[in-house]
Amino acid sequence: MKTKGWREVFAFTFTQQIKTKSFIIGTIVITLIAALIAATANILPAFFIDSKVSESGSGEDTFSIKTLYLSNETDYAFDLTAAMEKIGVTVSALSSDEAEKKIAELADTSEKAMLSRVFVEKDVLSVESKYAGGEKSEVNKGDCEAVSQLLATQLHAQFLVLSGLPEDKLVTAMAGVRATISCAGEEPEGFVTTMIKSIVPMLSAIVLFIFIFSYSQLVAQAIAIEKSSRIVEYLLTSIRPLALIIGKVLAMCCVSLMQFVIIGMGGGLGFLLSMPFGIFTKMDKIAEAAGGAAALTGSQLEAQNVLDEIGNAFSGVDASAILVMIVTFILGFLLYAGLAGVAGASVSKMEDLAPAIQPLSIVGVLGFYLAYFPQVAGEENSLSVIARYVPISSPFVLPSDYMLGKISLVETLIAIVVLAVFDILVVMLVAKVYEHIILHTGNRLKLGDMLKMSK
Amino acid sequence: MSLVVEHLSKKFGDKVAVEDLSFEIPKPGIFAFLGTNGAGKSTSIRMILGMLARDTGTVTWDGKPFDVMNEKVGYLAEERGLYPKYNILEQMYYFASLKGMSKKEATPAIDSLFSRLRIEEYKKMKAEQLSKGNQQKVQLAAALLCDPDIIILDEPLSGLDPVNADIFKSIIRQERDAGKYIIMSSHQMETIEEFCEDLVLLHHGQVVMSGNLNEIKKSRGRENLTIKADKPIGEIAEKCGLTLVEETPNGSSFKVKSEADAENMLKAMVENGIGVIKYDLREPSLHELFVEKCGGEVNED
Repeated sequence: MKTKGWREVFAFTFTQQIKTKSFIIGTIVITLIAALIAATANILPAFFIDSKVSESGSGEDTFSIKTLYLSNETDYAFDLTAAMEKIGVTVSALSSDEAEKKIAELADTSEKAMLSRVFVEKDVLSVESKYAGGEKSEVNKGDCEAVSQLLATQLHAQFLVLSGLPEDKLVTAMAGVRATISCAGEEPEGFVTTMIKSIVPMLSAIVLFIFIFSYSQLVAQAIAIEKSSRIVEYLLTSIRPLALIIGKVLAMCCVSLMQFVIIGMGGGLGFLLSMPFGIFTKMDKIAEAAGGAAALTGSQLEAQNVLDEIGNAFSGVDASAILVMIVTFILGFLLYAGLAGVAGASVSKMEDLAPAIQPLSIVGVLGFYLAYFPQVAGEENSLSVIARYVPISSPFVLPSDYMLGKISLVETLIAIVVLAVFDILVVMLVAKVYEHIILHTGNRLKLGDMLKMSK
Repeated sequence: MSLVVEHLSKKFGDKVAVEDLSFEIPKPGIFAFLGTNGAGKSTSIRMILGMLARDTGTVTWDGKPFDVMNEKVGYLAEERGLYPKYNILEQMYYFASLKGMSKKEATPAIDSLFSRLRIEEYKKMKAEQLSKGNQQKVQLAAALLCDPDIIILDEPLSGLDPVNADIFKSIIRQERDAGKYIIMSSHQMETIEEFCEDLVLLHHGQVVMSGNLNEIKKSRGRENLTIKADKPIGEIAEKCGLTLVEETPNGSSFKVKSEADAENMLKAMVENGIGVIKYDLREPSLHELFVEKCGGEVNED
């Protein structure tokens, strides 16, 4: 059997490759970077919201407002005690006269307090707040703004309910109206979704290209080392050339896939570990502190909407999307690594390897740009359709396009079948050529020489 | 059991690499596979091992087509190599696994071979850290790892110092005595004469000499005469029909047409009162046969 022994080649190549310093250090460094990027992407937006809110007051332990003197000068029976208790502020009701006196006291006091007057002026529900001042004052203006903002949201919500709005309509009323615009015949999508649908495919194409192409080059290098060190002649007394290249390509494919998964897991872990400080947890805390999603302030609602859009954009990421990614990765790798194997076998000296790989590099870069440019253009066009079905570019396009719902499962499967058939043809050609050139020594073989030798 | 090679031929484009090569190794022992550089030895070995497609010819082992994948074959290629960056022991386990041996089976075999070759201390090192000679020893160990029935050694002693060459020779003798079929290629004719009974000599891809070395020599007769005398002998030698080959401080070397001419020369020297210090009539050496068959020209490709 021509493939007998491929498992041994696979095991040896895989083991030796994952033991190399470059693999270990590279994997650790890139995984840490991925974890850091994921954690940063999670924490940074929360930090901005946090700093906004912290400045404006929802940091619990360092919160400088302990008492809110409230003067309700309207006809509405607002109850703000419960909402304020959630952020550690005690509400003390005052009449308008008492409020006037209190303002004078607050001008120079060490009391951690602020005063808010609620009134209706020219049909506008208003809240006017004063915080403790003077040399002894420890009150932070930002905290005062946070309480004022929360107060305004609560007053708005309670005003709507007191005016007869059913409570189940409150969230809708508070969220305002979301306006979108889109071309007839297309699904409407927000700015964030549009950005995700542009950036994710580009990043995906770049990452897949780097992995597939760099590991293919390692296949070429490994084969060239076997040839230049003359070890291949010994190996061929135990194993056929086909088994040798199959074992080597599959081993490198698994090594690259493993590194890909490890880095992905690193990113996931970074995201999970940063969850307590991340944007999602922050938004939950803000909503909880505010007394529900309905009570979120304008900027907080915006942030929540962005998160919802991100969630919607990636709603297509399920088991099938992961499977599509793995299958296209493997098929793409087989294609490029097979060709790289022939490039590696065409040289007898390591210094000839770079020029031997050059034609493959041109093919790879062409494939990458065919995948990349339609994504940059953003809109669906004939080039993006071609990129999905041309085998040199489809491995870089299919995973993201399927994940983001740009193509259906059926279209994806057709593209995968096209890629698989092309892979089979390439593997058959590679096996034939490799068998005939593997023992060649001397000058680097050109494509014409290789095909001539394989006749 | 016997290894039979019949009518092997190979062309690369218009260039004939090997033409109608046939020989048989009917019993265990060491068979010499000789030739000038580029004569087609490596191509022939690759064809025998099935690495290279043959244009014509067959190779049989024990009457059946010889398939290197199904037999225990050890091969030390002329262009030797190991993975430079990998640990020696791990490479040996890999080679053993390709020969179908488990780690458990391979361990004692590796230990024994490394001990015989005196390289136990290099097991944990990388190949690139070893000297060329020690790398060669590791490669011989790899070739013998599966306890092969057929061993092909292409220039096994080239580049070795005398101590390591003796170790290699001792191992080759042990394998021969263990009943192995060994094909050895070498440019060191003394080594071939020391080890081999039968040979084939290739020149420009064609067999120019083959058979039992002793019989070849006998068929040629004693045609080399070396004489050291106390007086000049050039004139007498010419009269006796001897052809001068070379003169050295150790004497004069002649080619004789027959042993009778050599005897006449001795008689003539005695009759002329010439004192004979050395008189050596012998068969041609393998070196001489090689040079004679392959001429002064060699193909350096």
